[in-house]
Amino acid sequence: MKTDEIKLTQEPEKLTNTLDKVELIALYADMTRRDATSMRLLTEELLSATSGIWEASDGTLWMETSPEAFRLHLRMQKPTDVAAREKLIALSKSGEASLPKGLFRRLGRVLSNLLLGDENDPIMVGVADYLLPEGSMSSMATGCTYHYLPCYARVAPAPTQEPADELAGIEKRIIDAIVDDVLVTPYGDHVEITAVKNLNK
Amino acid sequence: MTLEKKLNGSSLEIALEGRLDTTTAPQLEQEARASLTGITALVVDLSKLDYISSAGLRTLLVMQKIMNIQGTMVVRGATEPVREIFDLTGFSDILTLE
Repeated sequence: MKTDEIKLTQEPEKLTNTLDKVELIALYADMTRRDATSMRLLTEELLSATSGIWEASDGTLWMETSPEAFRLHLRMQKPTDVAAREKLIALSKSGEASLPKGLFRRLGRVLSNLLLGDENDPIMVGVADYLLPEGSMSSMATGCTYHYLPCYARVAPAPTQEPADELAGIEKRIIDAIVDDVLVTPYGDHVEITAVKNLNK
Repeated sequence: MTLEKKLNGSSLEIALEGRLDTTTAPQLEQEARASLTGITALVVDLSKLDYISSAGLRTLLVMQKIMNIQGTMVVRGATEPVREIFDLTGFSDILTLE
């Protein structure tokens, strides 16, 4: 089941309503009260970790539930500054951007093999020009941008880095403890964060 | 969230009930800043608090830093979900828990 999209706002009352809705949907998905509260906390921390980014654009949130997993999606406009992009990528569990699904992804793979050599080379291909231009190349024919994996490594700080103070990275620590995976997927003009909580454990 | 204060000389007890989150943490910080002048012993009772987010932790840290200068702060009766968040974020080592 996929819920309607909720337009995000900083107004406290509406924010509380959004969090209430997440908790309710989690309960509908047969999660325990405690897990539903965790989903509320997850949502709050995701919004907190991306604050300043989703407020500046039309941020939306929705949920997808299945017997296997509870998925929380947060979509916002692709930020223009590098620091904001780094902040988003750092939220992912892998420390890297995920590839968009579908045809573009497959096309990107084919083009990477054609343009950049052997299939087994350590190359990450993104059809969206999401990350830094440094170390990347564009195909004029397709408009796709290709990034070598080391570029992603530079963008995403190692997850083991020590926080600068007591509060640095606190949202991510909470998010990582709650969910099984966090994917950050850049598309042409927006970014989607998907937090996945497996239900069959 | 509801907040109850008990003042006894230079000792203050603040009891919280409900959720300490993005929308309620500013209320606590405002109350704390207004009340902590001259306080040397602060007890924060969390026995009826069933939810805390990073916004709430930030406020507790602000209170802890104020009290580090002027006295002591003890966090009492944290419920299991709240204690889990303290453990997860390293706040168990920052705060004095009872």
